[in-house]
Formats: sequence, structure tokens, C-alpha cells
Amino acid sequence: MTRKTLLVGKTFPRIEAEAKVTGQSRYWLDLPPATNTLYVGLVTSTRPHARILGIDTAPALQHEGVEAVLTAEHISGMLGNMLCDRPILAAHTVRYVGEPVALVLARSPAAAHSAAALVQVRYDDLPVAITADESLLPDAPILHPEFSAYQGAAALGGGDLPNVAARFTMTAGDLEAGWAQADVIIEQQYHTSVRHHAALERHGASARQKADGTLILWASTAAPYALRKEISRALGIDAQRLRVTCARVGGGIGAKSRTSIEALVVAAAMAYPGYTVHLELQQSGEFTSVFVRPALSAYLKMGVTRQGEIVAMQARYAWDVGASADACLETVWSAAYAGTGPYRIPHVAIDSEAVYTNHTPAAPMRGNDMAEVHWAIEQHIDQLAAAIDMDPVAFRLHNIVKGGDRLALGQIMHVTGLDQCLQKVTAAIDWQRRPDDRPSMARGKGLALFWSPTTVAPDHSAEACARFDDDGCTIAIDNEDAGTGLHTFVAQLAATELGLPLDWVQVSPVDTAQGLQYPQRKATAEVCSVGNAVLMAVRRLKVHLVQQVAAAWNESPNHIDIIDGIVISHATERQQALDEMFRAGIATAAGPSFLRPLEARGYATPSPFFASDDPEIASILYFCAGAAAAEVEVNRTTGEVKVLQLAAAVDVGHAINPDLVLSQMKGGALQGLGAALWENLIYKDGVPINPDLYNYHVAMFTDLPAQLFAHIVEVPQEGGPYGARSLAADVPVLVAPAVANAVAQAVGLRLTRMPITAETVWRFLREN
Amino acid sequence: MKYPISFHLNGKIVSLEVSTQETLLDALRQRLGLTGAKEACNEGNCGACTVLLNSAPVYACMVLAVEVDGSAVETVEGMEGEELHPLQKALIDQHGLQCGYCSPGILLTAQALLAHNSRPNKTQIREALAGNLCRCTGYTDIIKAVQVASRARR
Repeated sequence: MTRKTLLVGKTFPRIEAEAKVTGQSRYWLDLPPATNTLYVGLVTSTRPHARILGIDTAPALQHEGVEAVLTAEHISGMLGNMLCDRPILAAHTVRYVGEPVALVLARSPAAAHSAAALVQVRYDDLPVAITADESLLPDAPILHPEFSAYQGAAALGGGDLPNVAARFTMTAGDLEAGWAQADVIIEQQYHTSVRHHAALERHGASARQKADGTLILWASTAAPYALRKEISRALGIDAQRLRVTCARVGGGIGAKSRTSIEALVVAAAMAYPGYTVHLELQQSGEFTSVFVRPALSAYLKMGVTRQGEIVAMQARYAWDVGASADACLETVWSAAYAGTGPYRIPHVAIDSEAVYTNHTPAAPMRGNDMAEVHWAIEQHIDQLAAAIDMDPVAFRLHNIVKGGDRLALGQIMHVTGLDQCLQKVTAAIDWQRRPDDRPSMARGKGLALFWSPTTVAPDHSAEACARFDDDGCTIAIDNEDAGTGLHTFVAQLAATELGLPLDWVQVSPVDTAQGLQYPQRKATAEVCSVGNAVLMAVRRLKVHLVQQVAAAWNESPNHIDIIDGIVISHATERQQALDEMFRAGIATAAGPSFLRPLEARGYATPSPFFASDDPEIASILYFCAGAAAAEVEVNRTTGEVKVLQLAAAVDVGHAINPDLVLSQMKGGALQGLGAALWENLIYKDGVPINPDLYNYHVAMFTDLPAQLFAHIVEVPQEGGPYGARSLAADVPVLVAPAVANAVAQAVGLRLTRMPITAETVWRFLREN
Repeated sequence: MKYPISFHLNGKIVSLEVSTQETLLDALRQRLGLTGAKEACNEGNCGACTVLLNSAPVYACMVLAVEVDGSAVETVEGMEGEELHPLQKALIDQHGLQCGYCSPGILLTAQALLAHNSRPNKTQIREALAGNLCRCTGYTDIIKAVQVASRARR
């Protein structure tokens, strides 16, 4: 008897799809209302930077239905994973519009809302710095004068300049020697915009302290364990006292793996035992009071020879992280690790730094923000190729990092399918055929390569628990599936290993009560770490199961296997369905033998490709790589850019579920297009002027390019489960610089500032 | 001030008393326990709360409950009969969902489209669904799902 179906490398619908399309899935806001609830009216800062002179809570307290108003007098603590630099509630200073200042607790949502408007905060305004460039000026306001006292601050290489929270550098070779070899040197500054994750489901949380003093938090989060760790530390309570549970997550895009407003409701619940404290952010709060994506100010200088060798590179990546740097540390490290782009360059000096500014704290959006870095590098590569009159494809192929090359890190590069990806995307848009201009319409094609280090935090590891009983196999892992397909991936791995039909495997909602000990938070590494932990757990489970059956059948475990849910003996050809074994016992000559429910745990501490020698700095599991190509049409009169064709290819190692991989790629491509053309959270005098889905442009159905191609390339990853590599994070990286390069080819102008809106193109065309 | 209203909800008559500020979305989700229509922006920008009002798609967060007195309202909970609706099945099979928060609204808008255009082309599908945002999928697979469902219905 041979296995009928191998469940990896095959497309299945996501395992929770039916519940989602019938409306049966329960997201946080769909949970049944609790009795005895206090609703939170959140009072937030209206100033980008100011001292708090006083808070008058009396009018709010007199409002009908109001139970209390809590301020930093009642709730204090600093949030963070590695760097505790986010106050739960602003105490003496506010650093961004939207920063929580006070909580009104009321008996109804309406009372909470109207009483919150009655809380009077008196401010003394301070000077404002809203971009990294502004914060680095000598006379810039200092956002965190007490920075050096923050927990975790000492290890991060920051503090050398007033607003720099973290700094990481990477050097190789001899930069001066490199410049001496170069025939052409190009310097350029690039800027990306502040964007918003804009998951449709807003953040929300509710918490209650029970009679025994334990606390339970229900939150719209993908990372309950990370929340437990950060909240318990910030509030100075034992982590075991706090249980964190989640429901389905209506999109995370990076913003639901970090802690923010959840700490407020836990603190309020501790002050009001027996009540459920309930906080729902409204739309503007979702844009201003939680997280945004960091913006990048990148300075690049690169030297190339006439023969097309890139010989030297100097880069300064200044990350505008808003009022808190903690969530962006891996972004800072990754930008240094991968700051050369996927190119072999002998002489390198890269400096990457987190810079505090007066806007909402930043958190990575789909990966470690490599899109920002490649926005600069890939435009620079096109300029270098043009300067020495070389074809951009040939120039890239000549310089790309290949397996076996020594990286600036000092490490020997592993094999990737980067060249195959480039080939796929250039073929998809017929790269060789020069697009035809029409009188008022200029057309151009552009491409971009990328690589992205999948990094893991120093304390990184993962754990999974697999259980088998008469309900089938249930897997517990430490991260919720916010739409990536993680749970389907996990179910496919488990079913394949255990020899079960896919629908026998379930993945339970994440709950810290499941007691996993080694939680991790990073979605980009979860394919590798969670995947390997699950593989270990189910392999152990299978051993236990086979041993029980072997004992009952009086056979050697070596002869027993499970195929499509049937336990068989290769020696005696005896067989019995596994579900029947649980129901009726293992059939033996002496009557049924009871099959005990089984449980096994698995752990994964992946061995990194590049292990950081600093225990505070992230390591690299592997590099992901890919390519994108775009054809655009630019209206010379209006400046409008229309993308006619867009192609993306990513080396995913092994596509465990090919159609779900393609679905991730297509979604990522459209987010990348949004970054290139539309998405921009705009600040005027430090105040966000478009914090809602009407004025902040998220791509709509009608924005989809006429042709969108997604291609999978598979060069198996050593150490990845079945050779798989992470992917969801990476596709948006590719698209924006490919579009920028296409626009540059179409109109002969280089737009270095993201996004490329009709207005910026129109101004550029008029001025040049 | 409370007003009594009656309306057809997924084919059955329901009666309740609503206040003048209460939206249809709040009435469905909080009073009637139907959480299929999702609350997202709550300001008429995203389409996640789309339901059908007398067969036309509306944002339930922008309709007052008193307005639906005497009308017919359909939500995602009413879509499946014995089996999944062809649109639901196609959305699953074509991978037209990821986090799933936009799916109920998209299904109802698509149902309304197919009711008056049984074989829409891609442009018609895009235009009909332009009021429904999806942050995850990139839309391509949703468009394919609507096309597959339109063929299945014939």
C-alpha cells in the first residue's frame, strides 16, 4: 500500500475558508458582549509634541454613566520588547498626535465617547520634528531626553546623536580603495513615505480581573504570547497571572504582532476588578494611536567601473521610527545586513539608524521594511547602468550575489533562484520589446531585484504542541493566522507527517493558557521556526501512536505506518482506521485495546545562516530573493501613472501550497503598487491630515493593473520545513522600485521620493 | 425615542424597537446577533459591512435601522441553502480570501451584481466591487471567483 496523497506541494483551500465565507468566523469584535462592562473613551493627544501642564477630569467625571477617568497618575509603565520606550499613557510629555493621555471608563459606549471629549488637557507646545532628516538637525528638539535610562537602551548602539535610538553598521574592504577603482561615482538621496498597515479590522481589546486575581485579555492580536510578555513586564506583574487569548484576526500586516492599547485595558481592569474593560479604536485612532510604517531617508553613494563592476558602496539609512524605536530594531539591523542589495560589492560601509520623530510609533509592515531599502538601491542600480551605458538586466546579472560568493557580512552566500526570478519577470512583460509611446502618453519598463534577510531575535525559538484524540489531530502554535495561510501550512505539514487526510487536522486558536514556553513573535520567520517545531511535535506524536499500536498488535513498531488515516502493518498486512481505533479501541485477538489520547511537543531553535556575535542583535536564518518588472504609461499632461503590466517572481524554497503562495504574492504586489503610487500618511505641522480610508488611498478593485503575473521559483532552503522559505513579507518589496524605474524610463526623470503621485510627476514635467 | 420596525431578514420577518441613531449594522450585530456583516471603518469607506437592502448593496454602517422598516435585508448568513452559494464556493476554491474580514461584504455585492448581470466581464466586476476594499488578496482571485460563480449559475 502506497501513500495516495502527499499533502505538501499541493494546493488546498485554506482550512478556515468556509467559516470565513459563511460569516461564522468570530473576530474580536464578534465575541459576545460581556456583562458588567466598562467602556473606554480614549483621550488622545491633539499635539505632536508638548508638555502636559495639567489634565482637568472634573467635567468628564460629572457626565452621566462615567465611573472613572484614569491618567498617568493611575497607570504607568513603559512598553517594548527589547527597548522599553513606549509609555502606556503619556505622563509629562506627548510625542505624537493620537498618543493616549487618559481613559474615561463609562457604562455605555456613548457615555464614554462624549465624556472623553470633556477631558481638558492643557499643553505647552514644544518644537516638532516629523521626519528623520529634521530630527537629525543640530537644533532639533530632543524627543526622549531620558533615553539612556530606558530598559534595553544601552545595547543598541544609539544615543550618540540626540534622537538616534539604535545604530548598526557594517563594513567590508577599504572604501577609499574602492572609490579609487571606480570610473563613475553616483550619489543620491531617496525618501519613502510614512504609510499605514490599514488592515480592515481595527485594534481592540478587553480585559477582566477575576476574583482570584488572575487577568484575562481578549485582543485583536496575532501574537498573544508577545503581548503577555510585554504587558506583564510593563505593569510589573507575574506573566503567569495574565492570560491572553485571541479570535480570528482581520488582517495584521505587521501591526497586530506588537503591543499597544492592549496594556491600557489590562491596567484599567486591575484598577476595577470584576468589570470587563472594553476598548475599541475608531478609524482615526487606528491610524494615529497604534502603529504606522517607518519611513526611510536613504543616502547612497556607489562606484562602478567602465566594465560594469560595482566596486564600492556607502550608505546611510536613517529610519524615521516615530516616537518609539522598539518595533523597528530588526528593520535597522536588516537594513545593514542587506544594505548592499543582492549585489557583490567588495568595499562597503553601511550605517543604519533608528531616529525618533513626532509621529505615531512605527512598526514593520510585511517583513523588515526591505521595500524602503530597495526603493533606493534599485533606482541607484539603474542610474549606474545608464551612466556606463549598460543594459540594466545585463548589469544586474553581472553583479548579483550568487551561491558561494563571500558577502560583506563575511559569510558565504547560499544558493537562491535570483537569476531565475529575473528571467521569469523579464519574459512575462516581454522586456526586450521597447514600448511604443503615443503623443500624450509616455511608456516605459522597469525592473527591480531584491533580497531580504529573514531575521530572528536573539531569544528566538518556537514551540508547538500536537494532540491526538477522537476529534482528530489538534495543533497548538504560538502565532495566530492573520491571513497569511500559516494554519493551513501547519495542517499540511502535520497531515503529511502523520499520514492523515487534511481535514483530520485542526489548528486551535492561540491562547497563552496552552502554556507554550518558547513563544516567538516574528511572522517573517514563522514558516521556518513554527514549521520545524510542528514537524518535531507530530513526528514525536507518531512515534507514540505507533508504539501503542505495535504493543497491542504484538509487532515491531518498525513495521507499522499510517497511510491516509489507516494504521497498517507492513509485516502482517493487518490494518485498522485510526478514527475507529479511538472510537472502539485497537482491534486485537483478545478484544479491543484502549488507545490513549496522545500529546507531544516540538521545539525549533533554527540554526542561523549568519549568527550574530552580539547577543542583543538579531541573526539571519537565510535570504529570500526575487524580482519584479513593470510597464507603465505616464500621461504627459496630467502626470498620471498607469501600470499596464506587473510581474513578480519570488524564490519560496518550496511552495507547500502553491495557489496560496500565489495569492500572497498577488496581494503583496498590489500593496507594493500602493506604496509606489498612492499610499502616504501626510503630516501638516505634525498633524496627520488623512487618517482614514477615504483620504488614505488603499488600492481598490479598479486600481488593479490590466496584467498581473506572479511566478513561483523553487530552490529548496536548507533547514526550512520541506525546503520552504518565508514569502508573505517580501513581494511588496519588489514592486515600488520597478515602477519607479519604469517611470524614469518613460519620461526620463528620476523621482526619488515615494509615492509617485500624478501631482509630483506633473510638477516634475513642468519644471524640467 | 424608540420606534417599532419590522422587516424581512434573510426571508424571515423580524420586529424590534430601535432608537433613531441606531444603524442597521448595530441592529444586525448587537440586537440580532448576526455578526457576518463586519464592522471595520464604520464611516462608509471600506464596504466590509455591506448587506443587501431590497436586493441592492448598501453599507449597513451608513443606513439607519428605522429606514429598513418594511424592507427586505439579506446578510451573508442567508446566502447558503442546503449547500454553499456558488459565490461562496468559488471564493474558497479560487483563494479569493485571506484574513476574510472583507469576504461577507464582497459576497453580497457580487450577489447583487450577478442578479442583474448573469455574465459580467472583468471590468464590470471591478466596477461593481469598487466600493469594497480588500487589503490582503490583490483582488485578482476574487474577480476570478465571481466569473467562475457566474458560469456555475448558468
